[in-house]
Amino acid sequence: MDDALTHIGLSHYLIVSTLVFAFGCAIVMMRRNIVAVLMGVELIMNAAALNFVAFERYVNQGTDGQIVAIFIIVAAAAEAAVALALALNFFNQFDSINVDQGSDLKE
Amino acid sequence: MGRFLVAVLKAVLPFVLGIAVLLTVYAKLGGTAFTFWLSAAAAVIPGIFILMSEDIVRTAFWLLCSLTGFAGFYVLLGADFLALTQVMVYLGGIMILLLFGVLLTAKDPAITRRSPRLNLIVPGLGAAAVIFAGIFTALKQTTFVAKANPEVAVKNADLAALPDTTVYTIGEQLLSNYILPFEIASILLLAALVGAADVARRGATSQQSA
Repeated sequence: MDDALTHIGLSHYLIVSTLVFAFGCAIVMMRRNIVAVLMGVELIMNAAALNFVAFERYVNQGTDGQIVAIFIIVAAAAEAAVALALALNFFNQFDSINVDQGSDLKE
Repeated sequence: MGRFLVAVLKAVLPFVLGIAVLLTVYAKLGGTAFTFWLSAAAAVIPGIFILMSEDIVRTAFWLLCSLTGFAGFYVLLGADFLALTQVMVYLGGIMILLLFGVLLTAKDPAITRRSPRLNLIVPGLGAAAVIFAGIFTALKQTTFVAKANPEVAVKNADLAALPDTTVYTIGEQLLSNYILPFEIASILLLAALVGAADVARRGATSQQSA
């Protein structure tokens, strides 16, 4: 018990990242505000990046995982910019940011 | 005067108590474990508030807290460059972008001021719990082995010492082994930049003409 508290191993990071991933999924499924859904996606991407870095440190012991994490951050930045532009368009079109309003393909 | 003193005490006492608790935990756990648990709390606890908060601006600041926790993990894992990148790109860039998104779409009080309804809570939480339980069981049943020494499971004692900085290796690898993904990422960013500007601008002009 005390060992699990003071000696931080790979499984600690994996469990934390699983928790954050599950929270991100729940946020994407439950929140109806389009910006909050985007925040959930950011949490999911961060959880994935943490997995890469933790495995790199404990298993591979180089820097490859960190580079993958950098590419994840790049993808997240691109995704956030495009998704927010889409959200603005959605807001202009439907006058609402409730994602349920956009369930029709055409007005 | 007495009332003033009570008010000051009421304001200061929680901070003093909090710092005292943190210092006790720090003395008991040691630096690495303390930083891990602090980062874990900062990364995981905001998830609950992002899930339940009615105010989207508060949600954004809870996300800020969570992303800071991840930067703490990266420091602990010896990824100094990544920790700085996390702070600069996520906290400095993506958070500002999300806050702009919040401000530009803050016209629909019915949705921004409402927490999720029950018909979303039950399946949402259920599916998230299933996802967590599935990955957790898979993790429990797996033994991870170190690449350098495949005979033994990963242990803290086998860890290589942290290098002073990872910037040199990351820079070299980005321009040798990872040159193709690096170039693709730059094209992706350019396309996203132009595309986002175009999509956002088109939406604004269509609203003007309507």
